Amino acid sequence: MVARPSTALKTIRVALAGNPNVGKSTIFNILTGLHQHVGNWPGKTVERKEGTCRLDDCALEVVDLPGTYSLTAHSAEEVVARDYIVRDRPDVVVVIVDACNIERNFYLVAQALELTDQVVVALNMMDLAGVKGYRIFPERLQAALGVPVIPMVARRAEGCRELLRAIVEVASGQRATSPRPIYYRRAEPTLAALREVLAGRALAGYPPEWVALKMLEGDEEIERLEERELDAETRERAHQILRQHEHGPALVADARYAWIEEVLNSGMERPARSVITFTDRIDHVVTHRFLGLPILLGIFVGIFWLTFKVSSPLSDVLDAGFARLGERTADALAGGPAWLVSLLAEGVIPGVGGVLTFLPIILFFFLFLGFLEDSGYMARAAFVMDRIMHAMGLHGKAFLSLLVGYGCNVPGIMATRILDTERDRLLAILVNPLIPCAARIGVAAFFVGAFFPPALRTPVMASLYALSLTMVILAGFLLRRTLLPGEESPFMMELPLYRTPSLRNLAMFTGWRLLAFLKKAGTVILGVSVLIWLLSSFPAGADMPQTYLGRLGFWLEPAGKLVGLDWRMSVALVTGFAAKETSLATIGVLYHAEGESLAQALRHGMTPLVALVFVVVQLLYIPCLATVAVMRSETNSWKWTALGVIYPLTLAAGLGLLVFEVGKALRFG
Amino acid sequence: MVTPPDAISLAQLAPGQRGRVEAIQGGRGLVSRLAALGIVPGTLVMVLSNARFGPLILEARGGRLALGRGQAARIIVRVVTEGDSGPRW
Repeated sequence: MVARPSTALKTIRVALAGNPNVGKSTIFNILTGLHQHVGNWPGKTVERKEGTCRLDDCALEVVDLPGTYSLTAHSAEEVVARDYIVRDRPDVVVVIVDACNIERNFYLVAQALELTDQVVVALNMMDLAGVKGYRIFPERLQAALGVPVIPMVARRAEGCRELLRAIVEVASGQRATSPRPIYYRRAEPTLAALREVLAGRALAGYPPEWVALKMLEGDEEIERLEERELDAETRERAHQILRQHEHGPALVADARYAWIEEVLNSGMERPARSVITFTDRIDHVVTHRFLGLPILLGIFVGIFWLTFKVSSPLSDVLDAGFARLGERTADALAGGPAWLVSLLAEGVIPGVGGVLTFLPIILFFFLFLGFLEDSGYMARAAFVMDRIMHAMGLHGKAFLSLLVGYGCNVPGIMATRILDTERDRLLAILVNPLIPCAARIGVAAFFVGAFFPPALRTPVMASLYALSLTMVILAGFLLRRTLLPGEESPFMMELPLYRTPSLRNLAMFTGWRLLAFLKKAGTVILGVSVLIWLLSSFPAGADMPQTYLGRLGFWLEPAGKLVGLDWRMSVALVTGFAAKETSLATIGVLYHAEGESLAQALRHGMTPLVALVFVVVQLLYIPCLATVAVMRSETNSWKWTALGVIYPLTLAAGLGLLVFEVGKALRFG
Repeated sequence: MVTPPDAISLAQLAPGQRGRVEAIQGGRGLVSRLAALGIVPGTLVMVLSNARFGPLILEARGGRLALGRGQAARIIVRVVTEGDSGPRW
């Protein structure tokens, strides 16, 4: 792109490419700081992150391409990444490479160089390469490769200046690149024949050499492109050539690795046999065929336990704080209009405040999860869970999205983007709402605390977790065998080296999620709190059963009564649709009694059996508004979204009925 | 491609055993996905974990990978014994 002439600043457009887990986001965050914008790629459920930064008189516009292993169109991420390089022609493509996994990572470098000469290689995690016995000489690699190679330790922000400098130099032409050509050896004659057939054809802006290569690799996107762009005769000639070479993809890949071998041989020394690392020792235990699962369970039970242990005192402090804030507000506004006092002290403050008491839980859960993610354990968790996930026709990677769902289903559903096939994604999205998020667990914990003696609380909570997990597996199993049949998609993922998590990454990981939660508290939950207050305060002066909310409850009561729930509980379930936390706030308003704590009021208002039914139903019934919205945007289908609302509702009603009837038969409560 | 007589699938290798990839019995999609993770015909792989059921862990080109059992069964390898010469990686 031509720099804008009207400004003194030169604009340089930079794309960051790299495998997953190479520190790409870390580098993006260091480069752009808070000057970033997160959205979606047009028409795709792939995250698009853009940001800007400055160096001298240059303004860099940085696009963080999705993390991919290759630039062949297997997934939406790969299509997005390479279309950006081909169509938008960034001034520089930075390929970020994990120095510990340099050989495999250079595969992407080779593929980037097939598309453009304007490449800078960022050689990250240089501090860990020694662990594997590698001695890397960046200058020699640079000489062999023909493009700048910048050694970095992104976690300590080392090498960022040099990277920026190299980007500017390559973009401005100060530093000419002359990439080492890739020689396709046995594939070369075929490629030459294909190039000849394609010469002079319009290929939607793609270079013909590259299209020839991708045709030989059997790239699906390119096959669609040739159907659109080429006449029947040209296509037939091309296919004739391709039919003689069924091993095309292997030949091309082999040639790239041979090229990599040449480059690496001149730029690094490797031990003859791989070194036994710290990672090997840990993996020996945590991926052990018998020990792996108990260890994983232990870790996650520990995380849930620790989350509640650490956050409950903080939640109590927040709770007390909001109660005081409510009183103070009422006092301060004593002379003001009564409706305003009531709106603030009985609507907004307890509603939003009640939800904000969940803040510590979200914070610590995602902090611990981020710790596991950044340390490298998550990939092992996916490995260990693979066998179990197969029961529902998914593989290990899908487990990670379920795990995030325990914090909040919205990022949980977004996390299904790592799955490769549409079918797997749909399945993982549809079962995610059955995973109780922190909010639902919080509501459940409140009830369990109010109705069960201390000795029984932990077992009851544990059985609730187990119940929801059983439902997830059952629902997945049934969906796979009915609406979403199909072959299992391949499970392959890299297992990164273990490392000490970086504070910056943890802060980023947790910070974004806290921000999303606060946004929700400030918008949806605030709105619903006001709405509930309105419904429960009008017509003015009416007793609770005569208010609009009371009348709504009256209509709902017959349905609720089937499982023993009175109108107030039914109303709480309805308001819980806005956000699960609000059902507790609603109960707070509806059961409010002078001189009693909410727990006491609840104990007087219902039997333990009814409380248990309520807990089971609210744990499973329907996804909250935000989750429904994200289901719709991620599936791009109202039909699947509707299913995602209806089937958990049916399931919850059925289970509620079961618990109620069995409980009555056993004369429990 | 004809499978050589002494070749077995990667899923049959025991932990610690090494093999050289002879062929990948799958569509172009599988071949090129595996290629991006470093596995092409000719690659030397070592199995690090194989529990007879569930996925495997293997090392190839200096990196470690988790691979589903179904995919491993489609990778045909020739067992490499200690004295085997040939490319290191």
